[in-house]
Amino acid sequence: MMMDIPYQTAFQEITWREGIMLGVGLLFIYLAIGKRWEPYVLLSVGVGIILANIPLTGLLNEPDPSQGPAYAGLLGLLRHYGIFYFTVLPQLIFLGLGAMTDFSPLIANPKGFILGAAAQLGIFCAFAGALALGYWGITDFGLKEASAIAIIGGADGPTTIYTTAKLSPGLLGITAATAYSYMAMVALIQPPIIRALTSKEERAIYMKPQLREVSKLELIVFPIFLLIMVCLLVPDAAPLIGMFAFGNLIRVSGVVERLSETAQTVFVDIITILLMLGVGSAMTADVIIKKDTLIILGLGLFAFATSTAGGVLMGKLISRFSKEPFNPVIGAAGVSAVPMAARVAHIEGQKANPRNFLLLHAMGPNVAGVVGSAVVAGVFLGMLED
Amino acid sequence: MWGDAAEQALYGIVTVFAVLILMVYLMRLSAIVIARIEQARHRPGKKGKSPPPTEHNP
Repeated sequence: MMMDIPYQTAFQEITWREGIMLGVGLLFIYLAIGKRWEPYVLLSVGVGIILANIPLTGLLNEPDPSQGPAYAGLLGLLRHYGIFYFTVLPQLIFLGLGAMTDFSPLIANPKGFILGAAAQLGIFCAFAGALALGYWGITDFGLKEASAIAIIGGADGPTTIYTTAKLSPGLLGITAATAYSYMAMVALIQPPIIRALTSKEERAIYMKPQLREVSKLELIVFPIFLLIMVCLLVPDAAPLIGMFAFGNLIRVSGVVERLSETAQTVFVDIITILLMLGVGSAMTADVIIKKDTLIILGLGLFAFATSTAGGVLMGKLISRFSKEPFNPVIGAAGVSAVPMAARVAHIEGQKANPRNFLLLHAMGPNVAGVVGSAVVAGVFLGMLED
Repeated sequence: MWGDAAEQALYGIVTVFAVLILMVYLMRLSAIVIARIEQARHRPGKKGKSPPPTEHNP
């Protein structure tokens, strides 16, 4: 009996591929704790990766009626019900995000919507890039895979997870990890692109730090308009935008303080833990260790860079025709990545002109980017979902 | 495939701009309407509703 113990451990089953993935899981945990890169995300993802890549645990077993209820493992249940089959978790997290979002900078300066739309350019560039690689025989990406990879350019984690789970579940782990990793690196990726596309004089353009005051009625009307209009125009975006608008309405209505506080804290935290454990568990060695992973990482970076460029170029265009001073740097905040992208725009503006305080101006396009990427996801799903 | 891809990309670009530009105009319109409502509410001489008595009103 004692002699059998070594044969019951997972050591004999582990291969070099799982070993590498355990290293990746540990790296994510280090980045979360040591470097504080997206700790709310990367900590759970790192633990999910480790749990998913240790053999014999049974944690990844998905529910199977022929095996009985005890067969299913926790991560298998999370993945099956929360992400792949019903895709409940990414939709619910949008409710929490809506409750955490302040739309007043966008309502005060609706030009932010145009920047938020322009900063989706990277999605379409990466889409074309992924298809071109498929066409040249370098990969076997079709329209669904290309869409799932391209949506990384929206710089919005839950939108990436939702779109990939619906269109190409096999890519979920890597697209989600790529999106969150690049979101954490926005401060490294964006500044060189902003500086390459703008002159110091443009970056130094001074904008008044105050925005007009937004009334409570406007704040209440906004999510209702957003919900009705987007859901009518792009019904496939309704699961994301519907929850986002509902969460925001809870926040601004002022009559359900308890719900608002719960949605912004406990609710979103619980969903984040479950969703990120599920995402981490989708990063198994057989899915991640292959050539396509490097290509997706490259396409994701390309998508982020071109999205930033799209926002900045639109900012330059608006700056040229605007009657009031308009700093084009805030266009870079049109990629979602809330609030990191807005902070980057603010810092770049301040480096060029220490009097500048662009954070409020940049928050408008930043939250418009969330809406923009969800709309593009809805378009992709409407055209490609079975 | 390229025809479908081009159609999808074009539809995506047009839709995202259409939706967000529509939101720009919708929000500008609502700001004007709301400003007029607020103005009418605060017009001098207009009787405002008195606050309802509280349970602890002396």
